[in-house]
Amino acid sequence: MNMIVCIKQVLDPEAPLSSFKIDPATNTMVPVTSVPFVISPFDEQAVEAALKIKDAKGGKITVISLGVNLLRDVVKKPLSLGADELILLEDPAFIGGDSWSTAYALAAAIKKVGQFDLIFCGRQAADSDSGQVGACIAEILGIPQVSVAKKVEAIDGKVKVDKVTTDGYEVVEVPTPALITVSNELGEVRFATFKGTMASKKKEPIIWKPADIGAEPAKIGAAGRRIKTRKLFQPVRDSKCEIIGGETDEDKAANLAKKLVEVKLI
Amino acid sequence: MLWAPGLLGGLTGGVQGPIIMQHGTPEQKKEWLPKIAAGAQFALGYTEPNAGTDLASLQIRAAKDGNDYILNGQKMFSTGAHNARYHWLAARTNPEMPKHKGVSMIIADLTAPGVTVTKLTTIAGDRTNEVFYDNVRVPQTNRIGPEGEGWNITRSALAAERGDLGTFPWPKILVDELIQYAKETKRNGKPLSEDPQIRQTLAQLSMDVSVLRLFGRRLNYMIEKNQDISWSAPFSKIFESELSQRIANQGMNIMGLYGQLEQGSKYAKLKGHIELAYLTMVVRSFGGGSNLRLRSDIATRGMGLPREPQLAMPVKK
Amino acid sequence: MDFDYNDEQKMLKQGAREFFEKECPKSLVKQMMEDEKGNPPELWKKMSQLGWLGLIYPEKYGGGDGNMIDLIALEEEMGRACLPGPFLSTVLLSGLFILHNGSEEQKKEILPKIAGGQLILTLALTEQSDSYEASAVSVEAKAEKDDYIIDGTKLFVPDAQIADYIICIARTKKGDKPEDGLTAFLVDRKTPGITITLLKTLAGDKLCEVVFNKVKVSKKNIIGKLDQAWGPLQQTLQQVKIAQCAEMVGGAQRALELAADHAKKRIQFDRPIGSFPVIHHLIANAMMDVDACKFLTYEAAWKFSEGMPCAKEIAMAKAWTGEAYQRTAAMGHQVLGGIGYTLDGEMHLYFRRAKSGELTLGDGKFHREALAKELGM
Repeated sequence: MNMIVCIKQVLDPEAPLSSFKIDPATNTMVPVTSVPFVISPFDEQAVEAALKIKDAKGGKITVISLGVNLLRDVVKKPLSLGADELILLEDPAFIGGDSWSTAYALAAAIKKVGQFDLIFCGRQAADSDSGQVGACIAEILGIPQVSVAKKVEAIDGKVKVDKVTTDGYEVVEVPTPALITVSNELGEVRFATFKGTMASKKKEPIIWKPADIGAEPAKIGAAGRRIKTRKLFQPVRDSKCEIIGGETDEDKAANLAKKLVEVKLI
Repeated sequence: MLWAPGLLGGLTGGVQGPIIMQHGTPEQKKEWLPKIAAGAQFALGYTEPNAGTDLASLQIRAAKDGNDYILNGQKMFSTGAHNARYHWLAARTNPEMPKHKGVSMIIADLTAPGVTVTKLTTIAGDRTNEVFYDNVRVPQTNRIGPEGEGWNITRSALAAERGDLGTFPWPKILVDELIQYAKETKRNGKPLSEDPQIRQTLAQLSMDVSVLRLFGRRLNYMIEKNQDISWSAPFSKIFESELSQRIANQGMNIMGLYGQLEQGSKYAKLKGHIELAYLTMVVRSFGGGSNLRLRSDIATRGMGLPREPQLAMPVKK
Repeated sequence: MDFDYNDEQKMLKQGAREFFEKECPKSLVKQMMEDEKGNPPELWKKMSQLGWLGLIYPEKYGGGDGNMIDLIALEEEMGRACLPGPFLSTVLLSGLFILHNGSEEQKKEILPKIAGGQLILTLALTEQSDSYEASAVSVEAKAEKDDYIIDGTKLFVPDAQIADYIICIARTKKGDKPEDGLTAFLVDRKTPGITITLLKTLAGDKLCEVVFNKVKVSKKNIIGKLDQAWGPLQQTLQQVKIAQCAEMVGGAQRALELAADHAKKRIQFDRPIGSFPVIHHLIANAMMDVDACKFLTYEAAWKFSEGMPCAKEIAMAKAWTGEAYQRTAAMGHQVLGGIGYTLDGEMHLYFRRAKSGELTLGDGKFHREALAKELGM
């Protein structure tokens, strides 16, 4: 089984909200130095889904990321966990894009890799939260896509996917090659062993520039953008606290339930 | 004075060449760089009676008149101005602009008519100066960088100066001398180096010197890696200046009554270094940027603490 | 010397941070302070599976072939997490002593089991005289045919209550100098005559009184050379101190971050208290203090891993780091005020561990004295 996983380096979404600032003049985020970079958590789940299949059936995992100044100690993490190869589309021309131009570049890289049975993406990136790159790649490559997976199993040329729905999950089957976007319901991701971490030193990433993947300059990065951001802003959050009283704990619980019904939360 | 060249070098020299290279016009480079290379002396003219740590409050006025500026006002603590030919001056070219924006860098000739240099003596016996400008004429071609950009140029010059202060060699030299002194000097028939308290003190100072060395090397490492040093550069300056004072103070205690003897005095030990250090090192914690202010810079830039809010109403002078 | 970790060490450190955040929350740390065993077995097993317990051992003994810099990267995260358990006593004190001094048979028998999480060991050195000097060792071991009989009391022995084996440093000969005549014995904790009493400690770490009442140990259980344990033991302690400094660096760094985070959020007089210059100054001083800990520790670790002489550097690192960690945590309490003084908070964990770390394996005074000797005084 040949698998490809697309990962994105993002600012740690767990960092306090106050660390992030927006410049209203340019509609962009003010660069911050105090927040570390991580792999977008859904993408880590995508890596885990691929590793689980490799554990069960064997195979090769190629990881692809796109950006500039990609930190090696961040993007090499899948290698420390057991992925086989890392390809970086690392060039200023690749950045500033929207979902489509990013997917275009990733799809071009995937075509160059050639052999693949499954492509994994996170369900959405932890920074922009668009959730479109996976679908766009599938569209460009003309392959089926299953979104929001919580479990992926490879069975004889087909893939069985448990797909999260609002009130449960559906079990679907797709033929390969296919693209699966993975959700956090997949469960815990593994940690790298010491030996795995040290072994990743020997796996140097492969760098591809736009010309290497035959990408048309007008279609990638900022040049290929089709979406224009009109306004980027931080919503103001207001919270009020009300202490629900009552004679006994039972009363308090009952009053709380009553209140929640009142404000239509349950 | 033994370390006067180091001390004065730290506080005055060395910044003009690089800044002219960076901000000067081709004509200015042609005019000034050969003069600097030939050893032309500059004195720094930043501080004023009411502009110290809050340097942007400086008041000295440079008013345009034809192709010249007319300078009026006063500079303080201008070390070396009595020997230097030129004054590297931060002056206010536009009093209407907010305080950081109306300042320009100007080179004034200290021998020009209307300039008066008077002596101020430091507690260490060094000379520094007040410089008075009374309708002094300076050609506008002596302005370095664009008008109103003086503040930014000054800041980069100060950063260079603070880095300079951080490479001060004296803490290590003095601690080595004190260790040697403790080994060779007997009190009550026993070497000082056998006194447990003195052993602790000298071991601690020796650790401090190592930390200073490591701060300096880390700064170089960050510069090599092109990392933001705005918060880490003052580490060396603060640590060194306060360490120098600790060395002098504790060195005095180790040397006892002999510690007070000046260089040249009968019975003076270690060439009077510790007595001299006791006085000269005091300047290092406020010269080149007050340690008190630099600590706020470290915490706000390095750890993201909020700045102190500006007062809504300026305090009346 | 580098002032930063390499990419793999950064990955190890970041991975360890994520692992401990998940597997070693502060609630577990607090629970373990009260727990008699003080070592959650699941956590120990998972750390073993990640290869961390054997990180510093050679591969042929079930280890990961890591170096000292790899180890301190991991140790920093252990300190940040306030990791409970016998890492220091088992993996470092005992494991490293056996690695450097044990027979091939002892190494093959014990080290893979430490790395695999199956064996807990500790090293019993200090006694009631409360000193790390050789003259303080009074516990005696007398030869009797093929055995030795150990008699006496060891104090402040870490994790003895869960140890499978205790390495006991005992006096086998009265030599000219107190350093002569000391021998290391590998003693099964279940040997008749051993009584272990758990002490109640500031940081909730498990220090024990271990009474040896005519405890019989085979000559085969001597680690290293008879009568010559002191020099090798000091070498092991030197290496352990570097790791221990790194653990304190991680704790001090976290205490500083907690204080700064609180100062940014806590509003008094209509502004975050972190905007008051007096708080800037506390934080700035702690930043310099913690960086000094880091660089002194990194320098000691680097010199050690390069095989260079590093007695001075280790003395400086241990003296500075122990005291600076305590200063930083005390500063943290000052900034956090009342909320940091509650048991629900985290600052007290660092405040406790700072002091126990400072005292363990020699405090600032002890190491400044060591440094004075190194400086030829």
